Amino acid sequence: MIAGAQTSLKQWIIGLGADVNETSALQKAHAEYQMLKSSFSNPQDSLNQPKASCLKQHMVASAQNPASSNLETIFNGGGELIGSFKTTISKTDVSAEHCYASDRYIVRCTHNQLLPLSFGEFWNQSENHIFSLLRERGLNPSEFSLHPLF
Amino acid sequence: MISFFNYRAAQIRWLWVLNTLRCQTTHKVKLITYQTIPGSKAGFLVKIAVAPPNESETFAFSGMSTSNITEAFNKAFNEFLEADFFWKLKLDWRVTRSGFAGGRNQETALRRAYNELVERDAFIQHFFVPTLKSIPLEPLMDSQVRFAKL
Repeated sequence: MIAGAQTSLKQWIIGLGADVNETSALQKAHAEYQMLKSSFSNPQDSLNQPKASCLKQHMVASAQNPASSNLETIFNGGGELIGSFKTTISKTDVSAEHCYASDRYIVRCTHNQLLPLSFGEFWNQSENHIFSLLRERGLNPSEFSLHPLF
Repeated sequence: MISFFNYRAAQIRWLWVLNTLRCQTTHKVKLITYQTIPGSKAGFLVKIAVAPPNESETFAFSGMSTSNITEAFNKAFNEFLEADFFWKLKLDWRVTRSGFAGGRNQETALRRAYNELVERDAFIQHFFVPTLKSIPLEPLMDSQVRFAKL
């Protein structure tokens, strides 16, 4: 699920959510959107940290085409292709884990079939990998110059 | 807006949650902000930011829940531990914390990490292939927020 809205400057704030049912996924997306929105509107808030400037750059770029029109298409349901890609949690690898207390586990997972999200040089280096994964799904991706979070 | 009595009740509840968590881990945290945000289907969103006691507020982490303050605090606390684990692994920040997740047991953490990887994959896929069909959903109380199923 995706939740989002544009600011008065036409910049997008977006929240994503996935879960075992639609209602829960929707709530997650909405909560993430609200969290980002309130963080940007409150300078004392938690996003006032190093990556805040990076996120601000993404927001500014989201007001430009084609990023803005791609998002409009997503929210308008303008596409016609039906996606058929499916995978399962069993293909997830736990590459690292740490137990902070008896009931506080942190894991780092990877999934070779899923499209990875990174930034900067790491994102540029992942172009071939991402596009080959999309083509394996029978999809024809548009140009890579954009970052999905702009 | 929430009433004074609701706010007081929430504060007392938060103190109970914080003390409970302090008993569960050696990581001490402090409350940075706490606010409820109207506008969700559930009627409110709880937002909490936590930070290590000796750090500045720029290292705060947020958690938000559409249902209750305990869940919001647990999310913020997990975010904090995820970042701590990320730093322990000495990873470049551009790698992102995609695939990092926390939970009360390994299974829960793995499920959360998988959900995060899936939601990002879905967004990247739709962003680069806008011809893929998404399904617009009815807005909730906050009419400015738009939703779509990816």
